[in-house]
Amino acid sequence: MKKLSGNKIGLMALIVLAPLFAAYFTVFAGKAITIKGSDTMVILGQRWAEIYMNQNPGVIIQVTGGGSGVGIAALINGSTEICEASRPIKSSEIEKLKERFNTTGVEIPVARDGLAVYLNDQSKVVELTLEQLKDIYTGKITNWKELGWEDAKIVLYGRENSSGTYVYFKENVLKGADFAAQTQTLPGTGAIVNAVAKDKYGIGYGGAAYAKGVKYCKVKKDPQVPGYEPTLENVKSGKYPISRYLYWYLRNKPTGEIKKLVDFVLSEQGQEIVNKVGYFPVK
Amino acid sequence: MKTKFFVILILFVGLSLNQSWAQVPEDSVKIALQEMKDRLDGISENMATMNSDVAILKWVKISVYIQARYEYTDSSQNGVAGGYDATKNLNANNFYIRRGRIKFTVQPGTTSKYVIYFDASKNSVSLKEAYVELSKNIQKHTLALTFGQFNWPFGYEIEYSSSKRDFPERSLAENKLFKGERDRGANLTWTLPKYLQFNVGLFQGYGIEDKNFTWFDPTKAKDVIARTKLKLGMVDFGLSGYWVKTYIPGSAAVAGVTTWYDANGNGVIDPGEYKTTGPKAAIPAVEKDKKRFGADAQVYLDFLPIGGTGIRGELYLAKDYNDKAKDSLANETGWYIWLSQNIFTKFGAAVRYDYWDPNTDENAKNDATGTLSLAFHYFWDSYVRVTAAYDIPHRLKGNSIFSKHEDDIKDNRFTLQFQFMF
Repeated sequence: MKKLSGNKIGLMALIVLAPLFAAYFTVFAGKAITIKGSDTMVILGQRWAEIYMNQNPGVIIQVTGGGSGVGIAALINGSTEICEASRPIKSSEIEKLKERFNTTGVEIPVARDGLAVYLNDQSKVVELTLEQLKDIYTGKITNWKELGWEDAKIVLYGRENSSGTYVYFKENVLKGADFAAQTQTLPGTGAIVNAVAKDKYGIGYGGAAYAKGVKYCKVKKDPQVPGYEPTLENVKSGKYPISRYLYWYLRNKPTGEIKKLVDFVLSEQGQEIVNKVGYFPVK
Repeated sequence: MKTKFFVILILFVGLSLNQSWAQVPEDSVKIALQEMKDRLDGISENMATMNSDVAILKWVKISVYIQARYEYTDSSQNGVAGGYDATKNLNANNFYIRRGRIKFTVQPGTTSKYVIYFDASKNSVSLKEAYVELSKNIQKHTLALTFGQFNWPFGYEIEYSSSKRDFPERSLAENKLFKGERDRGANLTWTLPKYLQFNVGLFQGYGIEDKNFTWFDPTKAKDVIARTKLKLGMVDFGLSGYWVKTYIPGSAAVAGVTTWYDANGNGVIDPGEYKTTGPKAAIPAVEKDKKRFGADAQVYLDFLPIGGTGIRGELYLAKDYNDKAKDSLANETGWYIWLSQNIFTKFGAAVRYDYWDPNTDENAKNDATGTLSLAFHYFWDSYVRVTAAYDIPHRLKGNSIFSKHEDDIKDNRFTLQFQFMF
């Protein structure tokens, strides 16, 4: 059997080994931990980052939003270490992770959230069933008089399609149906809350932690049961019908500083921060 | 009295004028407000039109990738054999564009998708894919019907994009059995809520790159492909089957002929100087069964701190047209095993061994090829990947992967590829 020449063996070894040395220095040179993704979770991520950095000087953590879809795309293309997502990762996204990184990803539930429905403080509507919510957001019900209030057009506020909140609402409330064309898309739950606060006839949805200047609409599974607000007790007991986990996604099992950060987030102190921001602990 | 009257009159006129003056600013403010409201209404209408135009643009996704290569092959020589025919070129050391792909996907909602996909490479532009896909969710099951020109739904590496693959080319078995990777037909996919997916499709059969049957099928019957995939997360499996009739061309009758060569130059037909070739009867074209079966598995491991490890393997068993085989049908076998390792986010390495035997019959030994391929990647950023690859093909002795045939030629190939993708 012919042997490879010494030159070729040397060249192949150089091709393999030189980048390993470069990688070693790249990894251990010290760099920021990036967290990217859900706008629902961005404030929570920033609170965790602030407190962790105070307790661990020398560690830099950068937190940005953009939506769960943007965060997962960044995880797949390697531009973030941690993705925050307010929806589970899709199977098509896992396939892309497998192709690029030979990994199925690591899913870590870090908090729970009741997906709140917001109404203006002046609204006389108090509660809605899931079916009514679906009919409102698919454009089947367009006037508040159909729900026992004034003769006024319902103004719909929602999120853009890169948002995990959008995806979760579409899958779990609209059951996969498309949003009504007249839904105004806004970048973030905070923007939705602002819009509903200024619009007497507005309705919006988003993470429960953002309610300022608006009121919660009680949601009922069906007309026979009472409606519930997205409180900790109602979310834990399952009485509030639109609740979800909030996730961190990583490409690989966490090690080093990232593992310490994950342990902090899941610790008692980290989960207390979840409470303070307005979400609910994962356990 | 008159004075009092004039005073009252003046006061009255003065008050009336005052009211009028007060009225003018209020009226003009109302008019100005109404004008602004009308303009805002107009802007809102324009915004609504723009929103709906932007919403339509959001339906369209464009993806592009370009692979520019330098190849060096040990067997290259200077010169061109047979004119300017690139396939007969003695030199295989070239810079060239291997793939320049652009894909347009239009998805107005969740129930339909339209794709058109072009390739510009070497010196031609071709249509790779053009299809419509309709889908429906029923109780978390998804049914999808694809119609047009698209990947054969067989095995694993056919549908694995060349932009993601570790090695410059697919395995030899795949290139021989599924040249071009794509065909025209219809495919139904049923995806269950968890783990399982089934495909069944009807296809033309000769693909988009067959040199004889470029768009028409010489057999009336269409090819049937069926596949089952089981996805368990860290481990995925697949089983595929392909059933078809293949066209075995016939040949015309050949008349007998006697030829004479005047070896001694005496002008006389001497014994031994002539040769007679007997006549051959015409052989009619026939259709014979062509079959392919495949099994594939992929394992994803996360036990090394440097990154994920992928192990992929695939087996092809086929019965196909081969003019050198008995009855023009040969049993063919091919397989590969492929190990891929991520090295943090910037680097990757892979090794593959692939085996191809075009005729497994006892009287056709020494025609198998085994190829060891090595690849190394550097990810410049999220869009650019630089790959250095080395392929070592061997003709095998006795079709054993442990033995190299003495007639094996030295045709190792080094490839340097720059790929841009978004």
